[in-house]
Amino acid sequence: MVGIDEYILAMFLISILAGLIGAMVGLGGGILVVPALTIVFGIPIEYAIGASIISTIATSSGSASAYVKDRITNLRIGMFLEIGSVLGSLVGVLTTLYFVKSGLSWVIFIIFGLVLVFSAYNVYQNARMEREGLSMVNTTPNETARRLKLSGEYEDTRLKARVPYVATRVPAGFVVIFSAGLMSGLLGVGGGVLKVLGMDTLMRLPFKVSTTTSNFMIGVTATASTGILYVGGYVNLVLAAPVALGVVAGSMGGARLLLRSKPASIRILFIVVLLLLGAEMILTGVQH
Amino acid sequence: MKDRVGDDELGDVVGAILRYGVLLSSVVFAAGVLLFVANPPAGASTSIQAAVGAGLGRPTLSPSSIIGGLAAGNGLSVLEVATMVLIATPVVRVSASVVLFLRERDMLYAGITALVLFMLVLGIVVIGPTQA
Repeated sequence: MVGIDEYILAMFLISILAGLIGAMVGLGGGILVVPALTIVFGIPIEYAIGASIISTIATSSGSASAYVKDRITNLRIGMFLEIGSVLGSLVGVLTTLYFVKSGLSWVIFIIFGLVLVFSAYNVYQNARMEREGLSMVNTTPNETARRLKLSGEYEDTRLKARVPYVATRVPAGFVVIFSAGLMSGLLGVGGGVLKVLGMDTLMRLPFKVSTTTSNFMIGVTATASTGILYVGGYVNLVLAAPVALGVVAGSMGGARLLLRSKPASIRILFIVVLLLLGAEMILTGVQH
Repeated sequence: MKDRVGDDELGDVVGAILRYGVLLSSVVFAAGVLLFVANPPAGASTSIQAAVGAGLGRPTLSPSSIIGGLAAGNGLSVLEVATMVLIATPVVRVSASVVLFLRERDMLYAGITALVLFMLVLGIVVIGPTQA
């Protein structure tokens, strides 16, 4: 049993760390918040999700404003794909609340554990992609992209050139983005891993455009499920406040540090933490 | 290229809404936490688990009790305002996009952003209350 003041202080510090490391390896801090709340503090998972998703809105919106200003984010692609991610988020949060009300919370633990393990793999994969250079960017026009204006160009500071791009395989990308929204609503995380996968790997957008546009969409995606959780009473203000403050502070610091260091050791540490938490979440779910 | 000027304005407006929304809510969150710790409400001397179970920190969703709480210096009311500012930020961002696309006469994107706005409002106004 932890007192309220102790909780606020401890969770504030944990959230700073989660936001810091999350920003440094390119994941939101949200993915660490739910395991911390459920495993460390024994908070019911629906309230943990409610607290985590609030912080996701704040970190996404805070960093999105900077990328929008730098004209890297593709606003139209983001806003079009938000139809899919918001729809997915609504379905996801209703599914989670159905599990909770049916006494099936253990299912959420197992799904969360699997996502943590998948994210560990993704952090490893991203490191490789950054080492091996640019992904395949599509520049061939197509009818869907033309009609929906899903193209653009951005100033790449490393290549010192304007990189033009055209979205391809839009329907398949849309489905993956819907799944990302589903994951976000289901687990109270940003779902950026899947969003980037849909835009980078499927729609063949530049990696930098994919990550910043994904980040831009996360705030609105998270707001869809947060609205339902908030009105439903699952966003506990005392639980959520230190998380929101800590993750925002941490991710702002992490973004600054990222500019200076190549955090290979931090990546390895993060992968280990993700795998351990994933195993713990799966075990908790199995042993319900 | 014809959309370039309009899109720059869209980026500026959207960026400013996000920046100031998050800044405002963070400041209010910080004030709420400090007030809550300095002046704990009744029932706050228990464990965090028991407090959550007892509904301490559950949003009131009532404008009159929020205003009353603010006047009485209740940290929980301040935290409720902070949360609402945060949730409102992306909603305002999408609403502003609808207006800007309408002004650009980009009906396709006015429709797309209006659909997103509709789903957000549907969640808060229609679906949310059924889940309480």
